[in-house]
Amino acid sequence: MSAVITGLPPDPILERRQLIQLRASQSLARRTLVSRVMTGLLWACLLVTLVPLGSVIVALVGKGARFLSWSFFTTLPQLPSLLSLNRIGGIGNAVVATLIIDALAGLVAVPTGVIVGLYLAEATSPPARFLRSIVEIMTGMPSILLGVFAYEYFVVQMKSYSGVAAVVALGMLMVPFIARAAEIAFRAVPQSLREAALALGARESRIARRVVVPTALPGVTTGVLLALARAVGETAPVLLVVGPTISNLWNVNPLRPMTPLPLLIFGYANSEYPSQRAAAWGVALTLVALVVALTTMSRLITGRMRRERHH
Amino acid sequence: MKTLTPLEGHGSSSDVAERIRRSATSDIPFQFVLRATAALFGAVVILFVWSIVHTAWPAVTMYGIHLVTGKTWIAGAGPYGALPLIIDTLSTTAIALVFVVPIGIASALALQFQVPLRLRGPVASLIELLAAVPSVVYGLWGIAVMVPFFINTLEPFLNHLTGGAWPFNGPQQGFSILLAGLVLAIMVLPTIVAVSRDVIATVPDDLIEGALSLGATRGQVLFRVILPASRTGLLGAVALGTGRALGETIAVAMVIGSNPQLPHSLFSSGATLASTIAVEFGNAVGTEGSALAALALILMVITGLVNAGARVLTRRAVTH
Amino acid sequence: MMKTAQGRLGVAIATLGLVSTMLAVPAGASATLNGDLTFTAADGAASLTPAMGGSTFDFPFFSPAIQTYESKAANVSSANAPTQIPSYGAVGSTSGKKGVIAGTYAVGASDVPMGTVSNGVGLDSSLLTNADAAHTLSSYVQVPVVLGGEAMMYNLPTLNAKYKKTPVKLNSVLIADIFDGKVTTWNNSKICKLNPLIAVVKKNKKGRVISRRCALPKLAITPVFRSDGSGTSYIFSDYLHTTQGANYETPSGTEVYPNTTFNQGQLPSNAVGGYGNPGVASDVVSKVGAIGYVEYAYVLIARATGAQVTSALVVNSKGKTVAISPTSVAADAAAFASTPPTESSNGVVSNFSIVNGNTAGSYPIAGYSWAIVRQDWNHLGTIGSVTASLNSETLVAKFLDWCVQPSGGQAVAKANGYVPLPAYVTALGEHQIASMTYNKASLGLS
Repeated sequence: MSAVITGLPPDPILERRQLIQLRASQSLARRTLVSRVMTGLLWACLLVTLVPLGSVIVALVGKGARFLSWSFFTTLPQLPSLLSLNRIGGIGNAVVATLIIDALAGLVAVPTGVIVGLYLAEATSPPARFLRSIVEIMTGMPSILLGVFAYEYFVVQMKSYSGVAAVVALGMLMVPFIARAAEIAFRAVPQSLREAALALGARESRIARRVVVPTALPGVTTGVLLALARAVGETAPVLLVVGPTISNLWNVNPLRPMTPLPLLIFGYANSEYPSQRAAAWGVALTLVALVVALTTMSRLITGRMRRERHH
Repeated sequence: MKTLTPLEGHGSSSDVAERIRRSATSDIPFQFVLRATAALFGAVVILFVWSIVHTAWPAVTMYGIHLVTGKTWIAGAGPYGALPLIIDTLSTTAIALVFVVPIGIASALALQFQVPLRLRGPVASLIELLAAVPSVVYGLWGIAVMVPFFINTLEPFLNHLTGGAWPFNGPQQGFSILLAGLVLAIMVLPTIVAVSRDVIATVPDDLIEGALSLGATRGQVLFRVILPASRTGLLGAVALGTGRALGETIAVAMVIGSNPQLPHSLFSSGATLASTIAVEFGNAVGTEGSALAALALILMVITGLVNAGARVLTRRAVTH
Repeated sequence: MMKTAQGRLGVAIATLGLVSTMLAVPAGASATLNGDLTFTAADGAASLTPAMGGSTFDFPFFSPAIQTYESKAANVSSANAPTQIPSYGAVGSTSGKKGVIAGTYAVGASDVPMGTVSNGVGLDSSLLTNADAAHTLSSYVQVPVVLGGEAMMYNLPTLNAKYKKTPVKLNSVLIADIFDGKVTTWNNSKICKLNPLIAVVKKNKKGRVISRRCALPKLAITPVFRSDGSGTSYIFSDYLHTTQGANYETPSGTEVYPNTTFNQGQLPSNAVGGYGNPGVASDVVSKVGAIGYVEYAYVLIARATGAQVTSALVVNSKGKTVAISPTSVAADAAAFASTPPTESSNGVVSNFSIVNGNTAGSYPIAGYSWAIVRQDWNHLGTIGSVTASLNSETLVAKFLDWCVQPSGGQAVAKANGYVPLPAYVTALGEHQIASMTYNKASLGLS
């Protein structure tokens, strides 16, 4: 432009504008480049996350799937020896032990956790604040410490390793998780609902039973299922209190030693027999399937909750 | 993260609750059950802490500060100096965090803003699923897949890379604090990604749109707007992961090599507080049993400090 | 809450037990003490499985032994045949001792008898309940159950393939140095010097040797230890202490951790700890260059499942190089035949150590494994997860008795890589079991 009108002094505004445009386009190019690099890095990080996790899944399915069969879940393990190296049998007793221990732990922890959650949601007194910090501390407590506790108070006293001792450790592990989930769910119940029930003359227990708990139920259930999923896979506290790492006995009496699935994985993974080391993957896949079933249920419930809220 | 402080924003509802409590419809048996259960739970927790302190006490009086500063841990005979175990616990956690914090948060950002909408759900489900995989399974994976990979590939490679200098020197046994740290990282990663993503998702759209309208690029929005806006929650996620890494027992016990020593390099075998309790608890009697309870106490204090530190930082971040 | 539930169940079981005891006593006790089983009503009444646990050294024995006993019992055409056989948890010797003291195990298996070392897991009063106030070492019966050797199992597959007939030879000094972290590579000059046959030999045309180069690989040694309390470690420490003297003395008399004998108590920095004999074995199998001490049966299992591991030859006290085998381990035990293990009236077992036998054919690292059981179960309440009763005690005593018989458990032991107990040790075992009582009355196992 300035080439056309010669002789005139350069237009300062025009130059300024050109300069700005130039800088802006340079800046945009640079910023776009930086942005591209950054977002590229993000992609790379996601990939880095997914590769080892994928490797876990591939190993689990690739090495474990061939074990899965009805008889694997229902028959007893057969212990190998020098003369029969490849005997392996099933994991029936471990499946049963896991179900019994975690059902009992749930039986203890669910009511306790829900009631503690209800209390925390309703009360504002100093003891309630104290209890809330206890619950928060307990959610971060390393699980093995609960095993130490259960050993001192149950194994030593009962003079027997037992499913019950594991129930105590796992129950204590679950209560704070459930209580926190329950508290949040209870707090989310609209105050207007309670007030409406109150206006109709309902007693507190009735409000809790008929209004608060049903409304908060999906949230509570999600918390319960997630806590159960965590308890099912816990190994460290169970190792200290429950029984041998490998067992080939049926036992449905929780007052006696048991060998749940996570402990069997630990025992098999540590074995000198390649057959048992291989079977550890079958047990692991079974355990993961159990955990996935629990978490999927909780996700379905959460998903339904979200959809209902949107309606 | 709103869920951490559920009291906030509910001031009016608690007033109403207070009024309900005082009203004629108040229900004494109901309140009793509520309070009794809560008190029972509190009492059991206090009993739990007390039992560990009580069991640890003989070792504490016997060894005093040497229990924490002693460099020698000899199972069965003593002395019981937990310094190597503390250092190994902290170093495996640090190794895990070095990988997990940047990669985890970046993955959360990528998942929330980069991955096509159709893929986002499945990938997120996959990661959440992996967050629920029990630690013993990661331990099994560590022994069966990672130990051979370490021995045959990674350790020789790293050793070659630095020409045999620190930190990749020393015997290459597979079982090492580096492996323990990596297994911890992979275990904690899904949790960090899942929680971080939840946190990032709560950043108000207004903020993002505002930045975009001012001409910010995608990268600028992610790093200059979203990250600062969600730093409190991200801190919470990292604290959660740290706590899990510090207290993880079985996966670490399976891959660390159970040798209570001060690490000489990343290839050094070691033993953490939690893994030592798991391995030695079955046969510990007398002083050793007490010393293991003291390890439990130390672990409790360390995780407590991390949680408290995280809470202070979170609170500070909120007030700023 | 748990206590009352347990209490009620306990009462129920106790009542059952009492009734069946009353039924059983008139039936009389007539058991033959050999490989063939006969049962009385007292056996059939035990309805729960007593828990045994301990040593992983003898786990490859107990596991098939229990199965054999079970199938034999099932074949006995008697209504009295027991439906329950003791179970065995392989948790390590020290845990076994802890368990039998605490009452969580009916039988604790350990490769070192209880109470032989002043400050080890002798008797820990903190584990005892008030009912056990009068509890001393003589409250226990200690029964030798298996005899086994400890292999120095190493993993050098390439070398093994090339020099099939000449495994690496080690002497006690080298073994100590390796597990002390002083000798850290396989081609260390000391190992080479002891192994002239493992060499690349160059000869001239006349067949004269012109050069000899050590063929051991330039590979780091990974010594694998036991991370948990272990009688296998005890036997290993005992061997080093016997051969290397005071440098390897256990500092506070604790018997179960080898690291108490090494390097002022620290494991060497290149060491890895394995959980139980199985853990050590699988660590050695998975790591080329590793060496660990395990019961011989674990080598047999590893080799049978295709692992390229070998047991080192060991130079014994006569200067002879010996491979581990049932024969050489038996020879080692036989070297101590003039001083057989005995138990004195206060419960102390002496002369149990059989390391470093002084005969030419003896493999020097070997030991007996012991089953430790309460002598009298009266008033014990719960033990090994069952109610302590005449029935449950008889069941356990009978099983142990079968274990020490040449035609019973010892045949199983032989088939699984152990050495059958010498006759005088079986006799000690029988004597020990015969001294078991219930409410001060003999069990009547003849």
